[in-house]
Amino acid sequence: MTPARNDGAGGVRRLKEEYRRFTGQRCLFITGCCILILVLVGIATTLGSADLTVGEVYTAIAARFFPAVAESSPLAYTIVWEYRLHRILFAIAAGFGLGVAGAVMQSVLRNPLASPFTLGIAAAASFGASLVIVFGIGPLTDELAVIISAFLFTLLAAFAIYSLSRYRGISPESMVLAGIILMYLFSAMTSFLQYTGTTEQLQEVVFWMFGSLQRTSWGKLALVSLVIVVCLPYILMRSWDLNAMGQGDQVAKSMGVNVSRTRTGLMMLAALITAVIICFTGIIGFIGLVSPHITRLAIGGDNRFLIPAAGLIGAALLLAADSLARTILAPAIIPVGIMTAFIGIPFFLYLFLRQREGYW
Amino acid sequence: MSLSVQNLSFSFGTRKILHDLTFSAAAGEVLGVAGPNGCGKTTLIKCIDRIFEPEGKVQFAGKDIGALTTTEVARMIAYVPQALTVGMAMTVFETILLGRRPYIRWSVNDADFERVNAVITDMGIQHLAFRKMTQISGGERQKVMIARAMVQDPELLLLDEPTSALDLRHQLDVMELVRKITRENQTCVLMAIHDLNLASRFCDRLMIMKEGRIFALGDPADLLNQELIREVYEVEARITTESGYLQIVPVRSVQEQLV
Repeated sequence: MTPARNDGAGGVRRLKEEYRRFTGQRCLFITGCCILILVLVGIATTLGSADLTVGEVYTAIAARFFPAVAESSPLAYTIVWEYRLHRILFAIAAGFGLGVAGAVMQSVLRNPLASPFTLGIAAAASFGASLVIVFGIGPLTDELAVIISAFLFTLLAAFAIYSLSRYRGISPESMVLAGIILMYLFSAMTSFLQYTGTTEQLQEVVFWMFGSLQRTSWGKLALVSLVIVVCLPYILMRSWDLNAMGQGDQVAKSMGVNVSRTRTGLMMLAALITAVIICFTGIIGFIGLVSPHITRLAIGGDNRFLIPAAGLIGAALLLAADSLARTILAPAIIPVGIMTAFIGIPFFLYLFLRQREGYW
Repeated sequence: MSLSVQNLSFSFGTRKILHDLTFSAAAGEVLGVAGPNGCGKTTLIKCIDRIFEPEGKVQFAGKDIGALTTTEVARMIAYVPQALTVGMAMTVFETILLGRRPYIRWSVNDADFERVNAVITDMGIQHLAFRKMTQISGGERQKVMIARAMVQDPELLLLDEPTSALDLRHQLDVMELVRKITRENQTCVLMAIHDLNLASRFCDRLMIMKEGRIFALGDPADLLNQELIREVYEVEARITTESGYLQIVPVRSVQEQLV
């Protein structure tokens, strides 16, 4: 056995320096993500089918805040403020929320495959939406009914996962199994609805399931942002507990963590964030799974940094995907749910293949 | 500071695992718990740490463990399980730092750095501090887990089979470390252990369990004899003394002999 060395102060200093360097790298990564998002916003606002110049776009933005100085044409003003900006900001909010929800689920369940979409939560939303699209609900047969139904079914699925796993003891395994069972159940029911629906209904269901940012609005953006702003502090407050749970439930318990309460609470919040996003957008599957992985590969698994950074990566991914989706085959718009995978996978593969050890 | 367990019983559903255990352990003492697989060693440890809620009374330093908050318990008792889960993408330092969770709110302060440094210096694992958990060996990992428990500043340390996955040198390393911790910090250690040779060498007292009950409790040298091994483990054993240490060699199982 190595004898104890008498280098207390020097050792502490070295540890601190090394740890600060580590923390510095993480903060740098987070700052980098923020800058990337700002740059993407700058580019995305100038993209679109309306033939506006870069100058016209920024004049229109400035006109809102400094009407005395900047004077915008009504057309440019309407296009920027009524069509583009809320869509761009919604992409950021939704990407952020999905990234955070995915990171929380992977850490809570200690499972690299966990995401709102592998756990049946998204499948439940699809079913909720399809149900209304195919059957309609009286006078409400419109967008609002689809949103409400998708939202309610998402929460229902989360509650079912909770109840099923509570019955068996709230472990990661029981939650994952309950989630997968629900995913198959809701997928089967959605397929059945598609089978019975008319061609137009079928098309609408399929389009909803592709995921799209076509129908965003300032109101929806406000709602999604509000939910994230309310949930995020609690999630971050619990990140030390999440780190401890990475060592196994019983070790976490021995460190004073109330494991089942933390697990249940965080899963419900992740489900709520997911629900409020995908009820407006349809299924955007890839973000929640892959942004936590990209982030973990880059800055490690400390949830205090991982969770917000995964949100930022999600925001950047979704915004980039949506901007491409709007322009690549213009005037046709590719559903963003398809585009996220095309953009995210090469990036993820690069990091995944480069780093062989010490990941997950 | 001593551990006192009175009439502790525990059941999984209708299956009773632990029957009415009463014993105590003193500060600065290593109490080994041995017995055949399934005799309840791990369950006992989890009951003491309140991972399971048992019947009966567990007291430490005169305080009823059942009446404390989880954080209070965590500042007093640390636990190193047998099966080690390696956290996701964590360095050794971050893993050890987790032991400070009962003291940390958000950021890491000087006291935390000092505590971690003191423990890893003492254990001779400073050089591993910023390696990833997946890049170190099983023996090193076990030391990291003990370090994580130590920075929790426990007065009672619960170890479940700390040596079972280790090679000879690391077995010795870890056991000597445990004894050193016990003596220097006047920690009370309760350790489940299969290896009776190591147990007799490093435990101050040994508790032999069989089918959820205490079969015998006392000085290992007095306790371990052929009759006890036959009754508890159902094997014929030869017990010799080698270099001043007790050596137990299982020869054949009792059932085999009957045939």
